[in-house]
Amino acid sequence: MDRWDWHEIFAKAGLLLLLVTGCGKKEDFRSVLLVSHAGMGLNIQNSIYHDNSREALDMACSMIGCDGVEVDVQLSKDGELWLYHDATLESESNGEGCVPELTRDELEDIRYNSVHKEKLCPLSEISNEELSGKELFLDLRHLNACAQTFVSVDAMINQISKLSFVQTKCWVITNYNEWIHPLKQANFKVLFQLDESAAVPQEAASADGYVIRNSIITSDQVQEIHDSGKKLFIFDVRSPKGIRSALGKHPDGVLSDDIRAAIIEKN
Amino acid sequence: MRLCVNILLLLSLRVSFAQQVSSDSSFQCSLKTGVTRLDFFNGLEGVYCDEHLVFLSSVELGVNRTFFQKRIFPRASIGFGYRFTKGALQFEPLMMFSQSMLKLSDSYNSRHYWTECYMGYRFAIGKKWKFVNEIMCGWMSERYLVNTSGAKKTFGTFGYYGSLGLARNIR
Repeated sequence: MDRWDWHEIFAKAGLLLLLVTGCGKKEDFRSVLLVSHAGMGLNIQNSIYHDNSREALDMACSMIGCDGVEVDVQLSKDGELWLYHDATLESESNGEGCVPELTRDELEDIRYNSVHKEKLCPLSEISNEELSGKELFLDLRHLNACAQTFVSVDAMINQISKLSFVQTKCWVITNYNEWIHPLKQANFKVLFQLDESAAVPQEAASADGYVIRNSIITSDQVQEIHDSGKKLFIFDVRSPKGIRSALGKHPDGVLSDDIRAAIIEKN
Repeated sequence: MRLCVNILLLLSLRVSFAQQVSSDSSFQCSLKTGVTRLDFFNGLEGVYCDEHLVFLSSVELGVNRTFFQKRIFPRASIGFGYRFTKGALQFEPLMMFSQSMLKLSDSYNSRHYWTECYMGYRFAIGKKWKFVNEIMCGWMSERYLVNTSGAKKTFGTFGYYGSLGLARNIR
């Protein structure tokens, strides 16, 4: 071909793009809540801010289309709730030890090992205004990995109860079945995390709902859980394909690590 | 921003003057695939070089958003640099500005805009057909509406861009 026919090339490229972007009929996912996992995603390389940082929470809450935010919560030595995911501070920050072993004075100097060096954030500093009407999902950590002991559930309940937004816009998540009863007694909406299969253990039957990985639940199992009057939220949802698969199961909510991709898929 | 516009204007004047006194100019067109923090991008790039000054512009599409999520994610860039070596092996330090836009939803104003300002290099090897590599890093910001009343929020961070491509000398 001596000379390229640019008109033809552009016309064909445009047609191909239209075919690729215009195909397919979308399902209606309006009833599915989109929740941003760990602020703006857990262990996501392209996330601007570190998971469970105040900045990530702020970014997720300001995004139209994001219905809620999930954060991981640990109780410090002096009984305050802090946002932090891992069992030890060494893995993600310049701190040492575990959150339950340290006091506020020690924790407030610790910064994440990230580009922005975000500070660790106490939950009490998050205001109603910052949440902008979004639902908050608190994933409660019950283990002190350094001392290999359990955290006091009463101290945890006492601290969560002090938060102004708790009764209306807050869900608590636990994977320790002994905490379900005391949390329910304190009038929290409790979600139990099913770690290995979609079969609900007898001890977890009193929870208001369940949180489960996308890979271990099917649409039929979602329907079964809904039929029993419980809520169901799906997590570990990262890629567009994973998001589509999770939304297609029609759960009550999807905890996505890529909230932008989730908003696109829902809409 | 104003300073950047002034620099570009001065450089473009320099090019139009140079065209009158020199015929040592070239134009390359390339197909390239690159990666940023946001997505993989595929697209076309045009590079004009007059003696040592290099001007480039490119148009790309985000692969994941456009092809796997059926939401067009365009990215347009302009840049300029200085070509140190000519001939079969070219090396140019570059400055590049990019703008990309993604509409998350059709039902409300959910356009997210990313502005990137990067510095790095462009390396090309070959005669008529060239293998091209670009690596850049710098500042990027994301801007979007936070509610229906029109309030906007901007978040800035470190960004990067790396690409590989195949270029052809047009003249």
